[in-house]
Amino acid sequence: MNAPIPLKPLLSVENLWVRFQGEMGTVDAVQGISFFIAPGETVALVGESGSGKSVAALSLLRLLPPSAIVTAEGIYYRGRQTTTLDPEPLRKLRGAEMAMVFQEPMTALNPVYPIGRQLIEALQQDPSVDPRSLRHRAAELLDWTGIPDPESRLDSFPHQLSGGQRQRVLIAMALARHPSLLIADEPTTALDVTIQAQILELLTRLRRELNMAMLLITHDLPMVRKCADRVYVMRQGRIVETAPTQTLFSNPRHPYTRTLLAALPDAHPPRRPANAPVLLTANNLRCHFPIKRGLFKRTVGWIKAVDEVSFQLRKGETLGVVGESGSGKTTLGEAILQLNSSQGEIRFADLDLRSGDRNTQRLRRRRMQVVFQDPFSSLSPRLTIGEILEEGLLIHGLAPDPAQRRARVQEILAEVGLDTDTLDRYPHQFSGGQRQRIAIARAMILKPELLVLDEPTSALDLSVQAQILKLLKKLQQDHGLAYLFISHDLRVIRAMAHEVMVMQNGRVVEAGPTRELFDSPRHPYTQRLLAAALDLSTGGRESDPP
Amino acid sequence: MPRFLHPSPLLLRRWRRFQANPRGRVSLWIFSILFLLSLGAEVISNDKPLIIRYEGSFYFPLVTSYPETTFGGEFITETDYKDPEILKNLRQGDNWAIFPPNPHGYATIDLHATRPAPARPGDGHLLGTDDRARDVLARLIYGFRLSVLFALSLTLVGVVVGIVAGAIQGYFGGRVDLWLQRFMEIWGSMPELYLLIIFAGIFNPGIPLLLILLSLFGWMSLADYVRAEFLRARNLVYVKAARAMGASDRAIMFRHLLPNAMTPVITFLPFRVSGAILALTSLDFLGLGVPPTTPSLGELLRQGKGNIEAWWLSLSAFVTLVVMLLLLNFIGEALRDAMDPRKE
Repeated sequence: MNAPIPLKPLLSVENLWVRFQGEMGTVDAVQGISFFIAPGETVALVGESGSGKSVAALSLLRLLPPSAIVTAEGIYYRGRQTTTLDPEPLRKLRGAEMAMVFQEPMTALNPVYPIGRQLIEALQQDPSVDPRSLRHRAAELLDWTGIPDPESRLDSFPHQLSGGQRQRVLIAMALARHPSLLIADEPTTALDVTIQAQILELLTRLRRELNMAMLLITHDLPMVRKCADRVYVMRQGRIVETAPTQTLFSNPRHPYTRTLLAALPDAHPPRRPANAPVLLTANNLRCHFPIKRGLFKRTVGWIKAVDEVSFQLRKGETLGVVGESGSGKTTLGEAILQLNSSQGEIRFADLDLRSGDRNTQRLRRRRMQVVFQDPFSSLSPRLTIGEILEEGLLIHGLAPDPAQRRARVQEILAEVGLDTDTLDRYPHQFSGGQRQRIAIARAMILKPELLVLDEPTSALDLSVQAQILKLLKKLQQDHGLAYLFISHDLRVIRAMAHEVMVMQNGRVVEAGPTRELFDSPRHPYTQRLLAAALDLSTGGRESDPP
Repeated sequence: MPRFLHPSPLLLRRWRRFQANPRGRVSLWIFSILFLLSLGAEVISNDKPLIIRYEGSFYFPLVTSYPETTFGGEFITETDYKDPEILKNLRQGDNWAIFPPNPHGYATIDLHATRPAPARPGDGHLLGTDDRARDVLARLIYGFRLSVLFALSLTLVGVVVGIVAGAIQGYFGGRVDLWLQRFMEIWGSMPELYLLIIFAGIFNPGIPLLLILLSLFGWMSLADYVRAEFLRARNLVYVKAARAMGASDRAIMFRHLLPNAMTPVITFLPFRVSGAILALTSLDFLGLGVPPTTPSLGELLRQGKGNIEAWWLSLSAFVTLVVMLLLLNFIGEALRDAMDPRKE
């Protein structure tokens, strides 16, 4: 079902270039791309970070910073050239004809105004709306996007809403003036998986009701499969392949598209060793933070970030910890690493982790190490890679001789698949995937027995994610490492973990062997989570093509 | 390889940005040259010759002190090379002596002056003499050196104490932070000037006392900035990573956090130096500073106020101060722009 090229596309872009001029030289973020969107069509612009997809979208509304130089043979909206438009007619085009939904619902709303006021502001741009009905219209919009009790919600401030609700408000604002084209820039990336499914459903429903075209910018292939009619695949500023969604997924032609599709993790964890000894035991682990109020900071209650969690982790095994944001999975990881204060028993090998003085506890840290989510903030920006890697050796006196240290650092770099001549460079000179390799090397150089992996692949692109997972599997097999693998991504967990623990509001709601849990989840929350995630990952469109 | 041989690209970029500011770059050059020259003030302005050739042998009065009898005088005290009798001996026959460009020391009283002190410029004194018949140029050169050295040491002490205090507050937070903050509030509300007046009355005022007294209060403004940087950075992920690795508190503070907290410290350095110079000058002007024999710009200004008709006193001290502070402020401005995170 090839979409015929319409005689009158809603938007067509011809040979678009975007160049950034900075102190460090010029970068061509978008290099001569052309695409079109027919009325009522959903078109996805897919690519990994740095592929130029967001820049291309922002340039349509001229929302790029002044350092960007945009040139195009033509950006035609309803056949009208927009590149030569003056600021005033362009402003009228924004919102009324083309509206935008951004990725980050936390920062896209003004925190000091109630959301009603921000919605009304969007409505006021339209002179035909009766000023007396503004509030009513705003409530209607909220109702439409599925926010319960819209009348009273108008007076809420952004921080009083959850992430999903904020994204709904943003969508309501974008739709306030019934635009013909909605540009959605990673509209669900910052949200939890169950919320993602809801927002996606909402967008699909609204698009159908308004007969609106949508330009979906995303890196999330399952989402593309679920909602898009046609797909453009971008790589390094160019469009490498375009096809109707079905065709692209069943018969990808460009090698890059194929690697993208192959990168979806669906492999299984390495075989677990038989009769491995128990390495880590947590018994009734609790992490409660006091809520203090008033002049004298009296404790009025407790936030139970982690509550009565017990588990066992064997040598060479991976325990996956799944949960949505706020479920306490990161706090659990920190409690195991003794980075926050917790109660309850933690035993590592045969040691009570809380015994001994500060110094013994500090030196014990060598045996369990951690890799954090964001490779951009987890490496000291002012230290070279060599300095970062050898720090652990220095602290624990593992290689007193400088030459020995250097040899060990080079050995570990080779093991995680990095060039050994990178020692004198600084973290910002590396890509996200390389930095995560450095972070893994920093943990591995101490020869730990347990690695706590806190969302180690969530900040990475799909293809890089696959490589990092492969590396982690190899390290586990070579060294008999135990992993505590924390993730919100069920696909990754299924590919990595032997055992899974599902957390909600600080408690473990369900735990068991991975396959069993994925095949027959018992707890309703687990069922909901799996339904949302796996519905996305197996694809299958619900909406009818227009 | 030592760190400074391959400075971080960030540092290089900032240095390039600093270099790109012509006013700051030129100011830094001029100030550095002036300061280096003033370090060798003894060679530039002194009442002793640099080298003497006397009856076949060499003498270096700057290094060794020779009794007057060496050069045919009568006393065994150190030679007064301005004595006409001695001068005559030094210049007759094959003997010769090379004097510095400005042949006056900062404390030498010109006993052979032909005009009453303070004497206007001329007559061997480029900028005239002060009310005790001492050469103004010599006092300026030595005064400049003293001001800069004093300011640098005051800044150094203030920076070290400020960083340590701020780092401790910011890193540990909580109760430590609370108590140290309250302490700083009380400490900061002490009347600095009155304390100085009182101490100047009790002890013999001098450079070490001033350094201690001003240091007691000078660290606080910086501590606040360092505290804020540490508070912000102590929860960052790389600090957590270092803790998980088993790094000690001290290692985390000085290896991971401090390099990232240096921006306000470095940005304020030139302004702190100029502030310290101004502080010393004001105290000297009020008579609470260094003893009168010490060459000081504030003391010269005070003389200018006392002898209002002797314009060369106030004018020369004023111009020196203005140039010095202006150079420092230009350097500071360029440095601030170079460190501006918005330009990263």
